[in-house]
Amino acid sequence: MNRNLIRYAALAAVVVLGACSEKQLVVPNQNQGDTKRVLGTPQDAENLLGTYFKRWHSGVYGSTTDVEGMANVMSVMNYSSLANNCQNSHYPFVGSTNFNAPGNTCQGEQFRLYSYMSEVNRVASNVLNQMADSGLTIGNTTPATDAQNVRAQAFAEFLRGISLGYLAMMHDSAAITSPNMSKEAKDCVPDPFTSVCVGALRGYKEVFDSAMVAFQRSLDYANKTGLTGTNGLANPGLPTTWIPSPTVFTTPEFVKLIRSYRARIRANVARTPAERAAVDWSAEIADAQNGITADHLLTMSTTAGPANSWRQQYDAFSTWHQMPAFVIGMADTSGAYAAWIAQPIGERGAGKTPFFMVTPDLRFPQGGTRAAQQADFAASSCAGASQTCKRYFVNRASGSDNFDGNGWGWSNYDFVRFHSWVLKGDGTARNGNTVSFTKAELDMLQAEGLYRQGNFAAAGALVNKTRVANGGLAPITVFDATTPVPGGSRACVPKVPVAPFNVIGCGNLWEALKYEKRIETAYTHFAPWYLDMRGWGDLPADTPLFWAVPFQELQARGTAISSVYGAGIGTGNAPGSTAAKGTYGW
Amino acid sequence: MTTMNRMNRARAVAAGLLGVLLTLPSAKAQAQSAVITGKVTSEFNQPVDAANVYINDLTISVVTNAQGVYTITIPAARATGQQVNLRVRAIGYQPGLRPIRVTVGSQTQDFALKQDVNRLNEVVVTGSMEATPRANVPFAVGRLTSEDIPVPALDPITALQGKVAGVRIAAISGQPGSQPEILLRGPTSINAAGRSQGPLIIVDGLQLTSGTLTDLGGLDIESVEVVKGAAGASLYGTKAASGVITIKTKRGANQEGVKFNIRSEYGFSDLNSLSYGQPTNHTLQLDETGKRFCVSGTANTAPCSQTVDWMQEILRINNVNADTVRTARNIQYNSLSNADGTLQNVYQAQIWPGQYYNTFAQVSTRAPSFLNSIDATGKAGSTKFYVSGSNTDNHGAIKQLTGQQEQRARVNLDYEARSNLLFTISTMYDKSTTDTHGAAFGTLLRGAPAGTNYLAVDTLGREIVKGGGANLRGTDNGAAGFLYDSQNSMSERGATRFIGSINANYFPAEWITFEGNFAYDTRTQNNNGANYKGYRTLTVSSANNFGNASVSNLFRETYNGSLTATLRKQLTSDLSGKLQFQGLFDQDYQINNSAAGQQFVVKDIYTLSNTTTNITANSSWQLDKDLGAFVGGSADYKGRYIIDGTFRYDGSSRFGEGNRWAPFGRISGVWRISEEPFWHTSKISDFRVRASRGSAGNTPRFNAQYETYACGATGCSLGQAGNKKLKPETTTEVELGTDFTLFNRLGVELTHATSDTKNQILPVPTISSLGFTSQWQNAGTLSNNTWEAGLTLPVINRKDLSWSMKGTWDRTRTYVTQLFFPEYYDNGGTGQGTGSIFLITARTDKQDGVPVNRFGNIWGRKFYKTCGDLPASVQGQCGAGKAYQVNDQGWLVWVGDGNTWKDGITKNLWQTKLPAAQSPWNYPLFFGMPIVDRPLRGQPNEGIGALHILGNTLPDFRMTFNNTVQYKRLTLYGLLDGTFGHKINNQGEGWGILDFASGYFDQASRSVETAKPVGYSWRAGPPEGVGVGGFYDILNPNNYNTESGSYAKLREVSLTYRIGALRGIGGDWTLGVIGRNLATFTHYSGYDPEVGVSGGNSNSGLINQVDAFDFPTLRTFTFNISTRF
Repeated sequence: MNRNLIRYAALAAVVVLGACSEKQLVVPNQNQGDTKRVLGTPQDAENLLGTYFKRWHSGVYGSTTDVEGMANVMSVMNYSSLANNCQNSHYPFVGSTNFNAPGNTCQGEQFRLYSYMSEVNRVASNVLNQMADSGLTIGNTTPATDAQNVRAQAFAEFLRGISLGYLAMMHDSAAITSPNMSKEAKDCVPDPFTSVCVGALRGYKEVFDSAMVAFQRSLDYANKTGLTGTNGLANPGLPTTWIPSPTVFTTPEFVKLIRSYRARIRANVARTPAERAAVDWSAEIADAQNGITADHLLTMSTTAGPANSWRQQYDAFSTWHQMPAFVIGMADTSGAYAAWIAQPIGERGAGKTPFFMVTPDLRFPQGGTRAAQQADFAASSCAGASQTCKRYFVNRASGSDNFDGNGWGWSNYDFVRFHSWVLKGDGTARNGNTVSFTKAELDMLQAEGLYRQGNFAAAGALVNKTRVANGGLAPITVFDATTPVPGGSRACVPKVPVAPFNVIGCGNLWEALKYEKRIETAYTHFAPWYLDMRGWGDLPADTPLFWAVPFQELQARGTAISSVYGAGIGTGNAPGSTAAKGTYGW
Repeated sequence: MTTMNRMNRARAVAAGLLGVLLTLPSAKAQAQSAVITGKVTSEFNQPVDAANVYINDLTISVVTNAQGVYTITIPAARATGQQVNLRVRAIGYQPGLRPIRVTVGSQTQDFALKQDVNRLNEVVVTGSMEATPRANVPFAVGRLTSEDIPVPALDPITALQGKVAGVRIAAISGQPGSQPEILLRGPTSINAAGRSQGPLIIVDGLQLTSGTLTDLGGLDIESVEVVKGAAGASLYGTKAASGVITIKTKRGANQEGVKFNIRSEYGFSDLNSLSYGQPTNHTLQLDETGKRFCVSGTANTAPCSQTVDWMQEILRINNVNADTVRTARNIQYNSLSNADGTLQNVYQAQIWPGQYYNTFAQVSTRAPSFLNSIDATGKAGSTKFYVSGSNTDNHGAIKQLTGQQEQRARVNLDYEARSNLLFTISTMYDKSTTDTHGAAFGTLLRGAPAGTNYLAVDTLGREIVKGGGANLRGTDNGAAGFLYDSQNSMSERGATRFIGSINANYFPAEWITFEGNFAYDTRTQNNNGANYKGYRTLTVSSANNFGNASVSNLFRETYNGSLTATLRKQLTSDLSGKLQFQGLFDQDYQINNSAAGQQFVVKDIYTLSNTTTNITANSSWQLDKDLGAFVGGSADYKGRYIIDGTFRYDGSSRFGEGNRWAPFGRISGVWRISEEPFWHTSKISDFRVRASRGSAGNTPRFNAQYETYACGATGCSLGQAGNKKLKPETTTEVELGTDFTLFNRLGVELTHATSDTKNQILPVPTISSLGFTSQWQNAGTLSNNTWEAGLTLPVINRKDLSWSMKGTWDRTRTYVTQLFFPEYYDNGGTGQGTGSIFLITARTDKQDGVPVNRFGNIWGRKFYKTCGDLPASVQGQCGAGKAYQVNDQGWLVWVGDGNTWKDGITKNLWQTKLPAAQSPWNYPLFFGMPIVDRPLRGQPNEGIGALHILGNTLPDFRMTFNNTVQYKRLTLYGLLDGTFGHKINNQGEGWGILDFASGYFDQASRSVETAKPVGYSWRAGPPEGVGVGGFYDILNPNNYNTESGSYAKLREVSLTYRIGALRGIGGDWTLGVIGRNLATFTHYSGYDPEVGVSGGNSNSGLINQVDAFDFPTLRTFTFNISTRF
């Protein structure tokens, strides 16, 4: 009996173990899809592509963990006494440095924009590549209509343009993944583990050129005529979730948006005044003239995206977005700016005196005293839903000044232009429509082009648009490169430091243009002052002009960190990569 | 099949099985019997309680009572006069054996057992193919029985704390219901995110993969065994690289009838200390009376023209019938530095007017803690049973928090269906409710002003929500009221758990055994959280003011099973052999659902359907499967030479196609030298040497093999690149050891182990333009080098007095020895400040005398402390009367020629500096300020603080020491547990500096020579910061806030008195007092050195030695009474 039992038991064991086949160990991941499932149907493929403007937006504005905070501090738009976001290690005048050593305290910030833009470029390129080579169809019909395919292609090239463009603006080099990369051996640098082509690192000018090509392809697709089928750009336009906005992006509106971004990137990729001057200003004027005709609004959603963490953060307490006097002081008509400029920089703010000014510019609080300015406008007056702040800047509530850090950073003024959106938006916090691209920015790009081409009158007319309507300032009437703006030495706006840079003088049309653009674009998009001041030569001396390829990327490529940044690991500022003392002598 | 169906079916099967077994007929007693009685004593004539007296040939076993007396009754039919071996085993004693003849009638057999100092005769089950005396086990096995745990722990793992060499266990959170952290020998994974750094835990055959250890309870534990590394744990294959802990729960007694144990423990728990280094002084500006604070000046108002009483102002801003507080008046304070960075003469030296409050004392309480349990053990016919129930309530020690309440029941049955067929069943049901409020210890420790009475209530009877912060002082930290949150929000976890296992042993012949095992574990958990409608915040918060709710549910079901055949053969008279074959499987299935919403429609209804906005839902699903096949063999020659070898081939669903299966194995042996004929000395006994080389594995996190996109409401984004070629991390360990007893008194155990865990599973960054951010790859090796020692010394062993001492010592060094991608910095599990605390590198060069590849090195900046720290070219300027001097706090500072560090006030030097152009570092030096190490002018990386190795989070060594003294009926036990030579990054102190909330910089009793202005501590200078020096350093580790974490804890103390039977009541009564975590001996300046941050990439608080405001550890003091009858 025992032997029989043993036999039966042994047989049972064999049966049980035999049942334990390899197949039983196959377990799907039902939490996260892979490429096959994400592109499982034409509609899924289209949906994936359609989410990537939000992804791009998240990479640029979705987190304060990126380089914008540093850039804003470096361009004296913003002053923060906090170490958060590496702001206080990026002050000008005290050795602003872009670190790139492994483990540096800014490593997360430095990598975000780079990695997001690279991802957007890759996904858009992959979709285009598969549509061209692998028969990927897009949309909710099979086969997709020509119109729907072309809409996807236009959008994908637009994504490539804005992602490559932002890489070119901020980083010294990047990889260019393109729809036909697999066909171009020189670009096909294989990833060591996946063997997928990832592209060689190319200088920012090549990256910029590729962005421009992508924009043009996007325009070509968008303007393509004679397409058959439904769901195209002409009708009904981009699905509303692709670029959430009150604007319906049919062909004309989408073309305007493409040309607006192309204009922003074309002008702002320049590192130096020489490069800015060499911009194709004719093309720039053409794009600006055919770009958005009103402020471009995005519809924000904290749950479905896009979300703008920066805009929220710049409405935080005074330690986050105090505005130093360097630029806003140009609006002063009380003499305070002159006195401030006259002091050595280390003594500005002495005696715990934050900068106070009086200005006729209606974008600032009005009044001759702090109390009067506080009475004129308080942020609480535009805290409700759909309320508009009547000023862009506020003289903060008494007692909320912050005297930490450097004295030159202290002023009474905070930025509050979008305060009601931050608090309430269209009914709920930080949701709803908000400005993403101002018409004024585009006007000023056009104005700059016209000015550089010598068409001072046309440029001046554009400057006067916001100068008068928004600022309430006296219009410029003499259009040339030298005549001071109206108002005389006391009342003119703007005033600028002039040699030997401890005194001020009235600005001219050029300075009025720059002043207008700064005031109108402050905190409205990614690093607005930094990008312009870099090309205008207005950055404080020794300010880094770009960010290196993040060390994480270099390590992944097996490239020595020091070989890209020139001056050794961690020091950040390679020779020739920092600003010279410029226009204002700081 | 649905989840519920699956669960219900399993429960039904278990319940049915129990019912059938309990109703099986028992064997009938016989009228005529052979009766063997006797008394088991020690060699010193002390009765041995709970000794096991048994006759293998008749499968009879009984246990001695408290007087050491036993009785064996054998039915007449089995008493045929045959000769058998009567054996005795008792923990701590060498076994006894006496041949007897079994005849009808009575006979007496007494035993006097010799002490087994090293307990080599104990039978262990972990790591070996079957139960084996430790003497024959070729690797170290730590074993505890309930007798070794005189102070019951809330879970069986904590019971191990301080008792086994090489086992590091720490309760890094004192919150009731929280898990201890476990590390056996050393870490085996560089990155354990999404998986575990701890050992495989097996309870009555169940592989424990879910739930909390407290579910198991501490009183049902019969034994806990620990195998610390792969050399012993290879038997367990793909999940056992970090070692194995096997827990057995109590079983029924061998004697007919029922015995009851009742225990009641009642006491309290509280905080170890109410002192946490808080300052008693402040920097704010007072009026001339010194009782009121100056209101800050505005454009039209001069500073100090208005004043406020601090608490009146706090109450004024809180006393408003709104969701937010009123705007506070801004208290005047002076900035630390001038515009050019020079220091102001601001000192943290003013006593708070009015009453001083200890906020820690305010928030804590002495809360009740009790435990009641009852168990019954016995035998009914062929069925042995152990049944228990317990109820625990541990309130913790924080006001308004309710801690954890838990009820548990267990039924364990052993049913002898036939003489050669035994079924063993273990079941447990647990139900718990846990308050999961974290309490805002950050707020408490980060600047809660000492002048604020946080127990104050406003005019509407509400706790205050603002007690300081912005407008009242310089920083916003410490603003919130911490009691308000627990009063006005809900945060609780409810959980139920069922564990059941069945084991069938079939012995068809002496030479073969079959064993089948199946274990099942299911746990449901519901988390509910809500901020009540009307929840107050400092500023408008639509997410909170109208209330919010969140729920999450977890269902987890795991099971495992095995079939085993063991064959034995006496090959020659001296040589026996054993072969074992085994097939195994396990599965782990879990579902997580969660949802949240905001803004309640109706008050006091905490459902999601009562919310109107931001309603979100999430769910996830996970299934893991493993299969394994095992073959092993061992041979024993003359009981002196034992070798064994095992091979296991495991498949796991966590790997991709073609790489799911991996082999593991062991070869090992023991030489019992003292059993050799040539061994004549009695000075050394029980001498053996052992060696083992084995391998075991770690699996990756669930999703490591898959290419992933993160898809949600905002769309999809690329996650990680998939890797189907992943292999397990495989630890290969070589363990060598010896055990011996000196002079029959001193037991010694020594073990040395080296291990390499290859194929480290690491998230390797991919090139950005690939789109995916990383890919899990096998990309490195982590190596451990361990020494362990254990000593046992019975100091006194007399009839009425005994005293025994035990001690352990161990040390482990861990190194990254291979890394197949560039070195990188890793985080310490917290947000700001510790993002780059660790450098993961395989470089073997040294920095600061330490190999840079030592795992756990803390990297940070270093402030100079001695002249020798300075660069050689500057050292000549250092010393008395020179430009660089060491101040009274031990920091090297610049004072300028002709000055001393004492001259800051008297010569008004705090406002002076050495300009950058004159500084050797090309960086300005400020009088009296600490100087951070950075390259000199012209050197590479000029201007940036240099990174140094500031210490290591893994200890140099650990020691434990316990004593048991018994005098007649009185027993005193104490356990001291120490961890030495490791560093803690005191992040709380970093925040404290930022918020002027560090007692170290309190200037209360300083003289004009020693007083330091606040900037002395506050903020590093550029480019890292905007201050003028100081230690704050943006929370990054430096040699001020990284300090020695060495400590010794009086972990357990108990004093019991055995009363015995009470007249008229009977029983066997014992009274006692118990203390846990009674005292900590340390130089660490934080609240408690037993800290750490869970999570991070190392996924272990024992590696992430960062002190970041965790729930503080508690001490408990209880009175207990127990009886058995």
